[in-house]
Amino acid sequence: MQLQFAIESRREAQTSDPSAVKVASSEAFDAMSRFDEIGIWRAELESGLVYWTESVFRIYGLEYTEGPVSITDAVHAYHPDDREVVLRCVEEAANRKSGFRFVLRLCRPDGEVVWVKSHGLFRESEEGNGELFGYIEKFSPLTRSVTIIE
Amino acid sequence: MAEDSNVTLLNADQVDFDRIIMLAESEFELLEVCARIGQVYGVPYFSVMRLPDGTDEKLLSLGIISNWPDTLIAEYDRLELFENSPVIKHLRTSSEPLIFDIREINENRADNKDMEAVNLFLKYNLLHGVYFSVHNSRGELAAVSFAGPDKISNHDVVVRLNYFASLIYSKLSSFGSQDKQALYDLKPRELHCLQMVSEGKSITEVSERTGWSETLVGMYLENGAMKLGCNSRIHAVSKALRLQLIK
Repeated sequence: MQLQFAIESRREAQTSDPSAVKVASSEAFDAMSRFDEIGIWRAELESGLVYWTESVFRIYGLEYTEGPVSITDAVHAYHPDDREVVLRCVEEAANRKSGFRFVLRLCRPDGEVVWVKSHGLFRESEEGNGELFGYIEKFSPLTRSVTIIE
Repeated sequence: MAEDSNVTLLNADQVDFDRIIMLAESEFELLEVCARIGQVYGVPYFSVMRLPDGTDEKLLSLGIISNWPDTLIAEYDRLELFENSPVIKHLRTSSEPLIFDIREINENRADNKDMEAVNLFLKYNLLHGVYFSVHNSRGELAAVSFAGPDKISNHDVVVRLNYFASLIYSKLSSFGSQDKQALYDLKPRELHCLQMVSEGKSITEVSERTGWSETLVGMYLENGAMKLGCNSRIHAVSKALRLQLIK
């Protein structure tokens, strides 16, 4: 299946105060999650460990477990044709301290194939360590796609 | 008609694209090279598609790699523009490069959908471009295109894009046939540590399970990352997985 590719610049964080519509910041994410399941993930560059919120496990169709997740299992959950793209996105973002956005296929354990959109960005943690963090959500695209964020 | 491209070869000369294409290790890297070529030569849209046979009915089914907007492709297929596409007709009957102006090439379409086709491409500012027929060592045929808002009138640009098109398809066809493990010379312990980190194990856990000190585990991981040309463990683990050095 065709894979679309684009390069774009990193956007500045959008200043949008949810309190203007009487919604607390913590509620804003909850509200988004009610429309579409959205999971948050974080990958530590130095330790090589990856952490998921419970929602990510649900999107993958897996049971929640505490602690770091297996990158191997996470990558193998993608469609065989999409795994290289996922890994390349992580590699490039880690190497260049940049980011990515992709729309690819997850093969869940129950056999269902679902499209997901994931967006990751580099940042420095409060401890000064480099990490990638981002979100993943179910998506309904027309084709696979990937965007490198410089 | 749009003005001629003001892209000069001066900028293009500064980028060694043929070398970059030859060094690409994956489809992903080729996509990036194509995007960079597009930026330098003023042809932001590119595509590599297999040559259509008699059974193909949709543009979407032909794509190998591309950065055409998915909405453009979907609309193209919804309007059923494929069957009487003058580009497809050319590619089926000739191996000559096709330099096109989207308005001129869609004049007198057999399906009378001249305006639908032109308006669709106008919407995306895809007005001019060039298609090159390419083949690989297995005799498979494909077409590589570069397109954008401006007319490609510089003959040298066409020649260069044709050269890149051949290299891109040749490279694209070569993936999957290399013995990558030998290239990096990773030792079994380095691979074992990378494997365990990829499974979500911390250095402490790797140390406990292997009996090697945490310092030693750290050293194996450092060496592994260095051999893979990576600057972090997450990078090294991802690259090792991609190269199938670990499973």
